[in-house]
Amino acid sequence: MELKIDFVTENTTRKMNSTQKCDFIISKIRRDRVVVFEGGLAPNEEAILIEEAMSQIDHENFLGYKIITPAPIRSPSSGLFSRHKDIKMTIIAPHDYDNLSVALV
Amino acid sequence: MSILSRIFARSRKSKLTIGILGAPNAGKTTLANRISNECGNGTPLGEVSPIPHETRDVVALEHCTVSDQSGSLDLTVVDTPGIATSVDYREFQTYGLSRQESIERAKEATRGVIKAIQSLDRLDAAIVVVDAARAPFDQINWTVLGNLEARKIPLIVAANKTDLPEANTTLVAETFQSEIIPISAKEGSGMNELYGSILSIASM
Repeated sequence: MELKIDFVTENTTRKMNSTQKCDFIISKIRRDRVVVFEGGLAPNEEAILIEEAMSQIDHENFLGYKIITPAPIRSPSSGLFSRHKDIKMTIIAPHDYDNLSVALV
Repeated sequence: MSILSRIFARSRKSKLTIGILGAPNAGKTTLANRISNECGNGTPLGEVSPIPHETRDVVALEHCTVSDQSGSLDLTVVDTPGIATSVDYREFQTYGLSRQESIERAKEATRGVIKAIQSLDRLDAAIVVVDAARAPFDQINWTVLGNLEARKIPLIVAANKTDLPEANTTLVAETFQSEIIPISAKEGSGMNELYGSILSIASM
């Protein structure tokens, strides 16, 4: 299976409201793409995404999705005065990606 | 009764609506039936089945009384459908259901998931039921916990199915980095500790 990944930067996700994020994600996974959301989804956005996906499941072409939000990783500081930054992301894949797993090293 | 107990007894809520939440087949309805039975309700709250999404509607048991030496609590227990990010009708076919039966069940299941999410808004507290016999890393558990915390709803993590030899309650506690109540809803172990936690929440 060909793996297609859309990496969505925090600069882009910051401009979207919760509904726009969910619509964007569902439109991508409906086209069999994996979406990596830098900045991650907030818990309420994950709940909205579930509701939206459930209302769109048609039992033929769209059956839902798989989701992983790994524990945030701390980026190394790049200079004496720079601060560490927690990097959070959420990975959403079509339902039939059976072995979705993520290792952040 | 000590002075402290009297203070707590006075400040404790007299009524509490508590939801039972979690992934499909974690044992939510088995727990709801156990509580219902121990409250003296003659009929079970819902059917229990090895087929996922057996509970597809939100069901409430009202006026279940939980007591200790400080007084009693009028509990409303809300059993919810399992929360999932996908519903594949073909999974139901593996349990012997016909294609049409499986699609109908899947349609009801998707509606049930939405109802479970919407039920969060009317809860005072929640029991998140985790199947301790399965790896607890399902993102659904995090989604449920995150939403409860964001809504400031006090919660109890119940590590269920401790009657099974593969149950690993330590792993559940380590995964969620929180205190858990090991229970077997099927056999009834851990229920006194669970009721104690519910009463503690009512005193918060």
